[in-house]
Amino acid sequence: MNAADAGALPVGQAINLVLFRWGTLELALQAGQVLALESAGAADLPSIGALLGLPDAGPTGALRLLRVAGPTGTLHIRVEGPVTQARLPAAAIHPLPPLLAARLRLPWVRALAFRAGEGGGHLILILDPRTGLAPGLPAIET
Amino acid sequence: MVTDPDSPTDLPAAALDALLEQRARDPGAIVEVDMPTVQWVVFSLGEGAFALPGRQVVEILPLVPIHYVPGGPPALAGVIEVRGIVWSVLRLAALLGGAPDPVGRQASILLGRAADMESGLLVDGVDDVCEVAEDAFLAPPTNLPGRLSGCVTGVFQHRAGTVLALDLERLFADWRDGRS
Repeated sequence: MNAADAGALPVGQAINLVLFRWGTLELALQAGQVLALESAGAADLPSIGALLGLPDAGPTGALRLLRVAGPTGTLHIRVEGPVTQARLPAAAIHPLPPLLAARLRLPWVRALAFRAGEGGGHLILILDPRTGLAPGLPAIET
Repeated sequence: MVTDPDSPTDLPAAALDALLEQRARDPGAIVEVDMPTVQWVVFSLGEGAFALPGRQVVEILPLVPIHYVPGGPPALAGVIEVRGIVWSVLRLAALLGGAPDPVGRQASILLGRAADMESGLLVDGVDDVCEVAEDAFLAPPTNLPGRLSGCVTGVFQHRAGTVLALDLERLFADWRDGRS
């Protein structure tokens, strides 16, 4: 299957996302998977950076806590703000290019989205906790 | 009549008549000979010249912003969006086992497609798109270093230099299967 055939959602549909950051990365979860937004919470709760195995560059903004519906329970994940909600059209959401998906070691990355902006726009990594955690990460179900 | 198998192939009589008539009309004219050619996209990587078959290069793009995606091997430069389609971008120098040079102003992205695989390929610069006669395409040298030895299908001369023709399907398959 080539990228031209690999459309995401039918034209006209849109999806609600909760957007947040970790360092320079812009990340998102489907809004339906985010149960609550809370203040930063305890420092021993896992960060999205640790869960994804991202380089330890560290966030520069204020931390918030998301309660997220996981495959077997609720996850508490620290993320970098601002945390916002957006409705993205289907045309802005793309499956992972196959040769990228074949070698990507990041867990949870389910799709990509582009938002218009300067310098070619912004890339958003759309995460899906249902795809499982990276091996070796601590259990965080509560 | 006994024919010499090493002699040039005889032209049909009618074709010979036409050729002689043409030469008689214009002795200095260039006689066209059907010579099978293949289109190549010639580009540079470091000090070397390389090529991909034109039929496997969907598009040649100037350097556009490449969006970084963490969690991939060093050869993964990131992704780009081209008219609503997202392409991965791989550093071709790294796929060939070399250290990529810093990305310069002349850098280009080739959108490549081979078998059922496709990706953008970051190269230092595109030099030419040219037709090369099939009989000018020679077997690859036997002393190519490292990964090049398995990824070069042949060589040809271009602008007084030697160009290494790459096997894009092999490059993509090796990447996909974790061999590069």
